[in-house]
Amino acid sequence: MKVLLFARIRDQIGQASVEVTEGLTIAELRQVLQQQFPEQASLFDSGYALIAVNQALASEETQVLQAQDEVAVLPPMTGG
Amino acid sequence: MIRIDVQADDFTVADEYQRLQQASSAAGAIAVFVGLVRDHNLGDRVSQLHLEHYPGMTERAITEFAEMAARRWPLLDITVIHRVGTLRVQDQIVFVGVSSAHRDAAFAACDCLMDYLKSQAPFWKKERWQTDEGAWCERWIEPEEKDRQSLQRWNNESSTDTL
Repeated sequence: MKVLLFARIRDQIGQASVEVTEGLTIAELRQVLQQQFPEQASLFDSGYALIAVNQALASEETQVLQAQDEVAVLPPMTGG
Repeated sequence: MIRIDVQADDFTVADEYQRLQQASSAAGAIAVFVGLVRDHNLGDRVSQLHLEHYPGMTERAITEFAEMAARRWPLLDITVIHRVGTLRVQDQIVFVGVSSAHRDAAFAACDCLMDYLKSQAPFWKKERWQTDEGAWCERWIEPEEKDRQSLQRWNNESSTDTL
């Protein structure tokens, strides 16, 4: 399944999306992304990136990602 | 009524104010805030700001927050306009306008909505500037602790909603 990347995370990874297997929890998704991009692992730390599932922020453990979910990795927000 | 617009186009404060003014005869106060692109940040001369959002999620998240504000304070109308794309120094970035019967609620809700937009709404800013040698530089802006704390202070006051 596809995971969207935004802003600084997309720029530093150099891709707007990445492919991962479905069935992961949010915490597992972070680990998978850190293994895929070991040089940029800190971008996916729980203290940095937020994960949105179907356009709402997701909690770390409860949610299991399904193929039809829209999943996005977001850096800390800086609007206004 | 809550109106949320995320757009590349500029806005006219007078028009937005007039819409709020005419929307409800019960309004006794309208608080308006406008955010602009300033010409400096962290010691560098900034000449451009690029604003990115997450289409769909951004509009939805701001709407939910504005609905929360409308439950917390006795508000009549809320307008939030946030621009995205490339902006230049002195350009308008954001408009927040809130009407209420009395000024306390209008001021508080306007302030709280801005705190939310600064640190929790899905927007990301990248600034671009030129060095004295003429080379273009750019960097993503990192969140500031003061913005997070600024939003947090609304939690310290009595409210059933958590931010």
